Amino acid sequence: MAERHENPYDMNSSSFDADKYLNKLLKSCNLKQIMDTEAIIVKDTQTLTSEMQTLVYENYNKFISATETIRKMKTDFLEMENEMKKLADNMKEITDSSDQITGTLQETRTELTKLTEKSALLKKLSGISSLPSKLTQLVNERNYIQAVQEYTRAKRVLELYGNQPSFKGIQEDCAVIMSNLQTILKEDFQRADKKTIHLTETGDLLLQLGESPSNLSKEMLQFATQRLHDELILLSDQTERDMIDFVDIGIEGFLNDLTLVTSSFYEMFVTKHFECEDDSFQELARSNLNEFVNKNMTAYLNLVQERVESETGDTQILLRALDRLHRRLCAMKNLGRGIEISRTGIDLIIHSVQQLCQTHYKILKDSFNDNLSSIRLTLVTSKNDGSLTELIDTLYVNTIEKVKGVLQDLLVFLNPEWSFNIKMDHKGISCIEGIRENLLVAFLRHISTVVTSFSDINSSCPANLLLVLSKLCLKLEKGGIRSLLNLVDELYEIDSENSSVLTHETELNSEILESAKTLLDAYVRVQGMNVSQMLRKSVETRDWINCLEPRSVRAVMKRVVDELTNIDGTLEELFESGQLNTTTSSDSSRKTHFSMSMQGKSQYRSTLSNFTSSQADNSLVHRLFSERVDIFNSSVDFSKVSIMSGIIRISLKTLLECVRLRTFSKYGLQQIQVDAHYLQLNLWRFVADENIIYILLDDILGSAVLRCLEKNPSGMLMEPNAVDLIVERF
Amino acid sequence: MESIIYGIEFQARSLVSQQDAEEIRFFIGTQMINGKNQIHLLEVDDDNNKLKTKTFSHEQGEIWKLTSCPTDKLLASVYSSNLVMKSAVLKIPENVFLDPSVETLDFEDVEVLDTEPHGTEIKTTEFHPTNTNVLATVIDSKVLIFNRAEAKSQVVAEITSKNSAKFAGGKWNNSNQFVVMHENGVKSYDTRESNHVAWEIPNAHIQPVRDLDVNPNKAFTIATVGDDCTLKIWDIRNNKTPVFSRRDHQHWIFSVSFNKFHDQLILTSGSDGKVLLTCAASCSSETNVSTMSRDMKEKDDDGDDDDIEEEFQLKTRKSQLKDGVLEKFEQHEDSVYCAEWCSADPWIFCSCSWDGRVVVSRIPKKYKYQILL
Repeated sequence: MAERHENPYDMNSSSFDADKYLNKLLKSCNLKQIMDTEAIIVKDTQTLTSEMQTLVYENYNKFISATETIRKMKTDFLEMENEMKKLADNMKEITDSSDQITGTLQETRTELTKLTEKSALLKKLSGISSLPSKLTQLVNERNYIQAVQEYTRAKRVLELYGNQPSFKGIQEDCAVIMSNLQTILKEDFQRADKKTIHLTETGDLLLQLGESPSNLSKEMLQFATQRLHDELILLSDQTERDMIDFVDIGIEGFLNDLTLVTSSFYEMFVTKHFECEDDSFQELARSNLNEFVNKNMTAYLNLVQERVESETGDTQILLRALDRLHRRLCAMKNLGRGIEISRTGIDLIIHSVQQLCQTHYKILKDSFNDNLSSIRLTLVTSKNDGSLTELIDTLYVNTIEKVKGVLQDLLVFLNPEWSFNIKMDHKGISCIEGIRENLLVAFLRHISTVVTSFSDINSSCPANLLLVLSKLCLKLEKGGIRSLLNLVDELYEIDSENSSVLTHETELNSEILESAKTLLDAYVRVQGMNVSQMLRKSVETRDWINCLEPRSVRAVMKRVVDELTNIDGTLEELFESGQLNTTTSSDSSRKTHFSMSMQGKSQYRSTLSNFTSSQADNSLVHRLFSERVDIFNSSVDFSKVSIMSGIIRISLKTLLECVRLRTFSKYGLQQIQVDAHYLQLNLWRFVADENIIYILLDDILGSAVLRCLEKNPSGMLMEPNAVDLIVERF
Repeated sequence: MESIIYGIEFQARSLVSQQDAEEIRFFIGTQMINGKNQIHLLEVDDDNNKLKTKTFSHEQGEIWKLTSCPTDKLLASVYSSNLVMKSAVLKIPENVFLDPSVETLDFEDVEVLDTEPHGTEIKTTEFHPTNTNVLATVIDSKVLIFNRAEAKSQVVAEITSKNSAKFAGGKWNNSNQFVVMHENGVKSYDTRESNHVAWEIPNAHIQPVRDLDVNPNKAFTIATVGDDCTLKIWDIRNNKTPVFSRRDHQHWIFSVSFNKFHDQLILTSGSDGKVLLTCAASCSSETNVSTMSRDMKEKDDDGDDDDIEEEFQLKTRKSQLKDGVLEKFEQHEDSVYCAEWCSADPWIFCSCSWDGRVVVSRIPKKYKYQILL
């Protein structure tokens, strides 16, 4: 558009330059075009001219009518001006009149106000003068609240006009009434049977009457303590009742009261601020309250604890009661800010858990002892060696199941139904761990101790009992302990693996294994002694000087072998046989042993042949070349062969000692030779290392030779073939 | 000092320490049926840690038991010869080491006691603890009390058991009581009033009793050992339960003996070839004040004692040896039938096994200091 404005060639533009346009036209167009343009312009000009004429005409008409209208308006405005002037005058008149009226009324109104005030004052005074009688009436009606309200209202007036004689009387009267009231209230406050809810009211009234908060608070606690104490005494007479009842009564009576006292005290003294008291008063009140609450709670909980301790009935009932108590105590925790109840029911529960653990521990011990005595009885009464395995299994299963049962029983404490969660408390955790430590672990240790005590010097118990117990320990070690510990860990979610305080499985296992070993040693000793006894008696009672030529093995040797076979049979079902060095117990191997031993004997012979000349030297040489064998050094392990070796070692050693204490004739010596050979043929199969037997038997024979009266005792020995024959024939 | 080992070429069952001597002397008797039996004298030269030995001939027979007189230089032997058992009192000559060239000596005087009319099986002849002239011989189920007169010893009293079982041995309890081993138990007879049993422990062991010893420093206390491998110490006023019992041997125990000076030390030996030194401080005469006070302390001690006192307690506790086996001596390879304390030196003892090995040992210094300090 701007361009167009500046375009001098645009006819419609204001900056149109006719000359330039013409020039341009002349320059740029041919004649025809110029002619055409001229025609167009002429035509346009004509059109425009006619249009302009029309417009001028029309507008002229309009202008004329407007001029007429203006003229008419001018006359109208003149009239209006006159009217307005009149109005202003009137208004002025009105204002004047109004001012006049106000001035007249002012005096009357002031008087009226004064009169009203006076009448109100008079009314009040008449109220005050009737106050004493009103108060008396209210007090008599026991409407203390109203009375106090009235009094408080009038109090200030009385204080104000108290110096005037007419009011003085009233004031004094009121004071007397109110002090009476105060006394009454105090009595109420102190009376025991008052419901605690009234206590708050009374307390409030007293405070309003100007009682000192500190005194009042002290009194309140003092009397509350007294009352609660009485209730506790009442409660302690109720211990005969069912646990739940007992707790309910406690909750209904004691705890409710305590709660009310506490909450009203809290409201009355702790949350309010008293101007007349120090800033520290609230703190003091709070601490007093705390002390009070805790003292009473402790007293109460102690009572409950005593009750729990005497509780012998159902755990469920006990728990339900404790749960109820715990709920109540938890609710009490929210009594008010700053009130701390240090002891809660959880302690009590934990205590009862511990107590229950103790009881169960005792039950376990008792039942274990019962089991033991019954097994002992079985072993003593039924002489047949019956099935020890059965006995062991029964004992084992009984023991394990009993423990499992107890562990399940105790699980009720962790029931999610209960409002308490023992595990929340660190004491509770240690208590749960106590189930593991003081119940299970302690019981396992108890087993270990009890069974070990059977191997004591002064205990005399059947050998088979030792065997049964040893096997029991072994079974426990082999998995029983682990399963029980796993069970308890699982049930109670104890992480024993990573705990430094909890007893580890391996520890228990090694202890019980130790017991098993001790018992086994005892078994070996007892059986060894039994066999020893037979051998000792047989050697001691025989006359070895005047005996006849041996025709047979002595019967006692057969009995010894029988006894050992018997023991071997018993052990067979309980223990693995262990390392037997002879896999083929055929006749041929026996022959070999026999010949071997014969060699051994011939070696002895060679030693003994020059016995008279240098017996000692040869004996020493013999000792030098035979490796020192400490027959008692190898410890017994849990295999049949090892146990048997132990027994046989002890027995043969006894035979050796007995032989050394006797003196033999030729035939006596030969009898020993026959007996030794018989033992040699019959004992090797029980042991792993028969060399021990050979060494001992050689020693026996050697000792017998030394104890022989003959001049050349080794020459007195029988021919091996003859010995063989006798033994074979036997 | 290391132990000294001495070898005898013959079997030996008896050993005794010479009681009436300043020197450390032991006598060992050999046991051979066919042969010349001997009694070996071992004297320990404490300074040089060497042995001086001498041999006495004892051709009367094989020796089963030797005892020594506490008040005189006398020995008593029990021996058998040709199946007859006898007992003799032997007088030890003075200056035995005077002539080193002489190997075999004889006893100055040998008196064979007249036991034949009374029985066959003699177990022991025991000298009276104070009276040199009184002897007690255990024979079969009797105890003969001899009085040594100028010429010949006479039987002055006789104790006979009502039971037919034979006694296994015996010892003087005090001047008037003689204790015998009787099967599984022990009995004490009053020698003034024959056949009066002063006291008895009927079933001291569950198997026969092999030896006993009387605590020289504490009245009413005796130790017994037996075939049940057990050592028991009894207060004879309570014959039901022993005050101390241990089972540390693996086979029969053949000898037991209290240390004369520190009677908490007990020596036992047995057929398992071991000699055990056991401490029984809890029932010894040296159960001293500190132990008692400590026990009292423990009772009323609540743990707020002074540190110093505690330290003191600790020290006394330390010095108190614990009950139990202190030391095992395993130098023997055969059964050890005798282990005897030296009468002259409380820290030396001697043991002898059947193969003739004699070992003179010393209490390890640590125990010695613990007891002395």
